[in-house]
Amino acid sequence: MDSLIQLFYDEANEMVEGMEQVLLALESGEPDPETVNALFRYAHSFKGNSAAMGFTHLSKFTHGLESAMEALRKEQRPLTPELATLMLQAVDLIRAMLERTRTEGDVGDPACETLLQQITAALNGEPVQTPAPAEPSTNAASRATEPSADAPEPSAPQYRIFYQPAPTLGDEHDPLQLLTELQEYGQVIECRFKEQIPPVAQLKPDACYGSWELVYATAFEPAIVRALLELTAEGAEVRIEPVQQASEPTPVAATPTPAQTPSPEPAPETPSVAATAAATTAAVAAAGKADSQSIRVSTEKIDALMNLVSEIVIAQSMLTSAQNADTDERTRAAIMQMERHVRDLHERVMAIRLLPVSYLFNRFPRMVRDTAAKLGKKVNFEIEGEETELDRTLLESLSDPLTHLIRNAIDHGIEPPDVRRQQGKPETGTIKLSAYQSEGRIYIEVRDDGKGIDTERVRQKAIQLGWITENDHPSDETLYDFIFQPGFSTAQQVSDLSGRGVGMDVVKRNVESLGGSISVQSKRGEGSRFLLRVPLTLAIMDGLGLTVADEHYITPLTAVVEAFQYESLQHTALFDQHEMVNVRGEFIPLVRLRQFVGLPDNRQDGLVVVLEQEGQQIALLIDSIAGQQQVVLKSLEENFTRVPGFAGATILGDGRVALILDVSDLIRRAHQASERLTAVA
Amino acid sequence: MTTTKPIAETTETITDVNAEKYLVFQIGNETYGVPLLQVQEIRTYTPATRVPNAPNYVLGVINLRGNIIAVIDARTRFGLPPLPDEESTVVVVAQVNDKIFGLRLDSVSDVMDIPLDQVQPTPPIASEATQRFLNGVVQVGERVVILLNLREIFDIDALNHLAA
Repeated sequence: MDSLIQLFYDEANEMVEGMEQVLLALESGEPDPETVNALFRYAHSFKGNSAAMGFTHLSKFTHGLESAMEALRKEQRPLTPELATLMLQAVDLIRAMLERTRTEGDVGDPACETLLQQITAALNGEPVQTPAPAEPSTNAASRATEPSADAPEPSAPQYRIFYQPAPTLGDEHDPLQLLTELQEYGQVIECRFKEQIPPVAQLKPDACYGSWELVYATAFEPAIVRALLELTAEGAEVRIEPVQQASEPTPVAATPTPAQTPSPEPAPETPSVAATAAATTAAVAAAGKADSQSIRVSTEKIDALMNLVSEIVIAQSMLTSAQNADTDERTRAAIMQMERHVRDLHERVMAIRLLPVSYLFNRFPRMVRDTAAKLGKKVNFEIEGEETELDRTLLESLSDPLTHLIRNAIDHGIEPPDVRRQQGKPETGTIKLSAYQSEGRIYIEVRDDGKGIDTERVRQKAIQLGWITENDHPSDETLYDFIFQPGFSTAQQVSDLSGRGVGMDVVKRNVESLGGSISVQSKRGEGSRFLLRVPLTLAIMDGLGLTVADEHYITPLTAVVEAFQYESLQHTALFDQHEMVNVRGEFIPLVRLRQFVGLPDNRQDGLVVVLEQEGQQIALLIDSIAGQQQVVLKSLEENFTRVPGFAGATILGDGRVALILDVSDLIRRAHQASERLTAVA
Repeated sequence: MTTTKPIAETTETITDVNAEKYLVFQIGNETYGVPLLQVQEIRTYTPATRVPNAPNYVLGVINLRGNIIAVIDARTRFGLPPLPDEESTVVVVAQVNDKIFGLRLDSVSDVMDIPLDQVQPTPPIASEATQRFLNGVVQVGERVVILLNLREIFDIDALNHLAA
C-alpha cells in the first residue's frame, strides 16, 4: 500500500509539473489543440488518481479546473495572461494541497473555490478581480463549484454503455459507487439492470450476478469514460457505443449503431468494440508518448545494485592480481574477458542513477516568468542541452545554486525595458541556461545579456570592506572573485528576491561541496556568464592517495593546489608549536598528517601538499603520494559514526578501506588554532 | 530479550518454545553467547583500517559488500589483552538498532538452544564497567553460557558522543 501511495505522489508531481509546462508553453506560443489536449489529459488523470486515493477535495478541485479547460479546448477560448496566471496559481494550490495530504490526509482549501470562480470569470472575459458572486448565477460558476450538478451541454454526445462487473467483486469493486461517479462526468439518461441470479444454492457472497446497460450523455471522449470504468473495475467487461444523434454526429459515429433493443447476451465481437478499442489505444498512445518505455525503481534498489557491482569490481581486481606465472592460458583469457564485462556492467549501473538535467531545468521557466513579472522586466528564457545527464542527488543539490544565479540574472543582470531601449538593446532580455558534458564533467552555464558586472562598484565595495586599498587596482578576475567572498553584496538595497541573506558565497560553497567549481566572465553592458563545473556523480570523485607510515588516506583532488619537498620550504613555528611554511611568499599553517591521525611524528622530510578550500589554505605534511584515482564515496555514519576530520571512506582496489580527508574541517581547525594564538599574542 | 518469564508459562511444553538459538564462542576460558537472530554472518578476519582517535576497542573499519562497518575487538572491550590474528579469528557481523557492526572473536564454536526461562541474572562478580555487557548466565548441560548484550558492546551513542 505504501508503494501505491508513493506511486501516486510520484505521478502526481509529474502531472503537476506537466500542467505547469504546458501552461507556460501555451502562454508563449500559438494555442495548439494538441497542447491544450495535453493539459486536459494531465488534469483528468490527476483527478482520477486523487479520487482513487480518496483525496476528494483534490479531485473536486481538479474537476473544476478540468471543466474550465474543457471550455478552453472545445470553445477555443484564448489563454489570456490573467487566465494563465490563475491557472498557474491553481497548479501551485494543487501542489500545496498535495503536500498537505501527506500529513493531513484528505483536506480542502478555502482558496479552491475562490480560484475556480476567478478562473470561470476570466474565461467569460470578466475582469479577474471581481469578487466571487454570492449566488453562483452564471452557468459557468455553478459548473465549477458543483461538479455533480454539472449538466452536460445540451449537445453532448450520447453513448450506450454495457458494463458487466468482474465475476468476483473485491472490497475495492463497488459497481454502485462507480455508477454514482459516472454521474459526475455526465448524465445517465437511462439505466437498466439485467440480473442473472442463479439458484440460491449456487450463490456466492462475493459474486456479481448482473450487468448494467446505460444511455449516457457526456462531453468526454469515450476513451476517457472507458478508462474511468476500468480504473475502478478491474476485470470488468465494458463496451461503449455511440448513440446516433440527428443534430450532432460524433466523430466515432461512423460505426453502425446496433439495434436499440438491449441485447441481454454480451456480444463480444460487434464492430463497435473494435472501434472503441482503437480509440482507447490512440488515447493511451498520445498520453504516454513521452515515456512509454520506463519503469520506476527506488533509489535504494539502485544503490544496493551499485554496491554489489563495486564489490564485483574489487573481487575482479583481486582475481586479476592473483594470476601468476603458473596460471594457464584459458584462465587468463577468462579473467581478461570477465574484466571487460565487469567494467561494462559498472558503467551501465552508474548510468541508471543519471537523470537528464531537464528534471531540474523545467522548474525554472515558471520562476523566471514570475520573477520577471514581479520586477517589471521582460525576459526570454532559453534552455539548451536539457538532455545532458547527471546524478540524481547532484541534480537536487544544484537546484538552490542555480535558482540563485538565475534570480540574480533577472534582478541584477537584465535591465528594465526602458533602459534597454535607451541603450539600443531589444526590450526583452535573454537568459540562457545550458548544460553540456566535457572531459567527464558536467558544465552548466547561466548567461544573460544584461548590464554585466560593474567592476568599479565591486572595487569600491572591496575598499569599503577593507579588502584592498584605494591605490589597488586588481585585475577584473580578482574583482569577480570578490563577489564569491562571504560578506560581499553589491545590491544597493536588499531586494525582495535576491539577497535574502544568501549571497554568491553560499552558491560557491554549495557548488564546491559537490566537488565542483564556479567561475564568472562578464562584460559591461553586454552581460555575464556564470559557469558551473560539477562531477558526473556525487558518489565518485577524483582523489589523491596520501601515505603516512603504512596507512593510506585520500584527499579530494579538487582541493589540491600544489606539492613541494618539505626541505625546499622555509618553515617557522609560532611559539614552537604552530608550524608555518612559506609557500610562494605566504606563510600558511602546516598540518602534520601523522600527528593528525595519532602516529608518532618528528619528520623533517617528506612531501608538503598545499590544500585549498573556500579561499583558505593549509600545507599538509605526508610521507609520499600514492597516486591519483577515482574513488567511490562511502558513508562512515551509516553504520558507525562521524569521524572528525574525515568526510567519509572509500574502498581501495585491494578491498581495504581508506578514509577520505575532510579538507574544510582540517583548514578550519588549523586556522582556528593559529587565530587563537595570534589573539593571545 | 527478557530474562524472566511469568511463572504460569513455565510449563514443560512451553520450555521448548522459549528456547532460542544462540551463537556461542570462547573468550579466554569462558563460553559466551549472542542471539543468532542478531547475527547476520560470520566472516574470516581481514585487517581493519584504523580510525584515528577512536577508542582502543574499535579496531577500525572494514568493507562489507560496499558498506563501511566498524569492527570491535571483543577481548579489548572486556579489558583482556588482545590476541594476535590466527586462522580461526573471525568477525561476527551483527545488527543492533539500525547499525551493522563486526565483533572480532578468537573463534566461534557452536550454535546452541538456550532455554530463556532458565537464564539467571549475572552474579555481581563482574566489574561494574563490564556488567552492562552481560544479559545473564545460563547452565546448559555441562556448560555455563554467559549471554552478551550486543547493543551495549557496540554502544553507538557513546561513539557518537566521542565524535562530537
